[in-house]
Amino acid sequence: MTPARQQDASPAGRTTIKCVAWDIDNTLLAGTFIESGARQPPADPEMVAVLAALGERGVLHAIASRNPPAAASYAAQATGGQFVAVESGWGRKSAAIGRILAELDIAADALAFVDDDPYERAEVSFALPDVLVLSPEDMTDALDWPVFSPDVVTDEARRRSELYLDKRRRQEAEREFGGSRDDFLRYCRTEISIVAAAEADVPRLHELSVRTRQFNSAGQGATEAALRAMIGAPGREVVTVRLRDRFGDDGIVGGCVTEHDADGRWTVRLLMMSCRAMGRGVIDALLAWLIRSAADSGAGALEAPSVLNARNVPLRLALAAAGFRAADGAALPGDRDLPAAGGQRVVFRRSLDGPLPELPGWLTRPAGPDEPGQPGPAGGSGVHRDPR
Amino acid sequence: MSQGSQAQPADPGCTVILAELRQILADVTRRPELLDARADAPLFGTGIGLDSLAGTLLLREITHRYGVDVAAEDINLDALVSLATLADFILARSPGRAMGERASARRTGHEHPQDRLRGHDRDQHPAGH
Repeated sequence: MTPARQQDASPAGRTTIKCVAWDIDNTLLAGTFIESGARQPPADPEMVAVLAALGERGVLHAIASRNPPAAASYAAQATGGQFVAVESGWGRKSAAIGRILAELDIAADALAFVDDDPYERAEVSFALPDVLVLSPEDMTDALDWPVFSPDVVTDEARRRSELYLDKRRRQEAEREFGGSRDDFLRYCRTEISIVAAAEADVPRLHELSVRTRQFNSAGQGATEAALRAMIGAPGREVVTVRLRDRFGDDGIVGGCVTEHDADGRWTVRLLMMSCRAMGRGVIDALLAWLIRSAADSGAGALEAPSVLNARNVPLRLALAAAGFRAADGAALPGDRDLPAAGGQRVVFRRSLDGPLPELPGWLTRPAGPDEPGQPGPAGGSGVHRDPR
Repeated sequence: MSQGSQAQPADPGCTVILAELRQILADVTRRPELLDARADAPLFGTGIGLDSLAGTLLLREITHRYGVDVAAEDINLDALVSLATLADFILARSPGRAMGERASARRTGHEHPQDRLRGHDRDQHPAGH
């Protein structure tokens, strides 16, 4: 690896790679898959090592190959890799990569594409300039690059492939299912638990703060030190949100930092949720819990300062659905598109007068007057403490 | 447009667009019964119960079809009060497209992968993480 290349391909501030899309022939395999062949080429041992190392770091793998689907099955078996999305076919590789991005719901700059064929690399680079495009030789070196080296690897990260496969099974079940979303969540035996954050949760909270885009109110990451300092600090409440159902245990999928000031104002300093949990009632349950907790404590208002950008429209939909409104005078510039990052800071406010949202039956929340930061003596009556 | 608009829409463009919006809503929620949703039924909360996933898909499809980016203009997403308010919002900004001139609609992303990809390319739409 030359320092120049590392600088070029892995500039400071580049998004961490979440998924690598692999070619098969002469990339994952040391040779070309033969459609009718009895003897297939073996896996490339260097790429087998790279697949395993990246998997350990929570990076997902996908296949984008001009081969029949049987080649992907063979490549998975030969390399021992777990591929969460497979695109086999004879169309353009950039189109295959596009389908992988859509299926996994990740942005182009969070994907790397590895192919031995310079033509394919050029085609993908041209069509998708944000994708990190590498040859197999580059990929071996790139293992040391910061974009492939998350500073901490959480349990959720290590199990990420498995969680995406659970997600696919859940989506297939949902397509077959006839009823409403809430009926489906009940059928899935959805369990959402809001739990006071502990020291051990800090790495995962930090990871969520830097990885989440669609549901992130702050628009920027929070350091582990900052998160650690907030846990147990007076006037602050830090919670984690856990999710599991009959298809699998997603672990911690969200978190939230609230500040309670002497004037009775509750401010949500950070609100974040993994997009993997989207459509499963998590953000709605978290917001309903926040609103009810603030109201139960006698707070005058609940505010959620948010940095608006083109990526976190889902957060705004959730805030709007929960009855939050931009504080007086806030407006968007109008006919311009929102920026992808950065963006406009707006304080959303939820009135605590009038009807409060119902807590869904699948939510477990911290309870009891002994709960640190828990509002009011009656705040947790009638609910049970999370057993974990 | 907020009351009784299902029975007697004032504007023929509104009738067309309401039918299209019901179809989109039924598609993104996978709930065919929403093809009969009242124009003034609240989209959020009890009733239609639009969540952020279905809402995101709905807004993507509206941008794709009509070239109207609701999220970039409407800070509180008040356009999403009901199908009627949403139809009004779109008609006010894109009367020609709402009447069927689709070819020139800006294609900045909807739920189909290839078009979602354009959103990723331009990095201006919710694109996951």
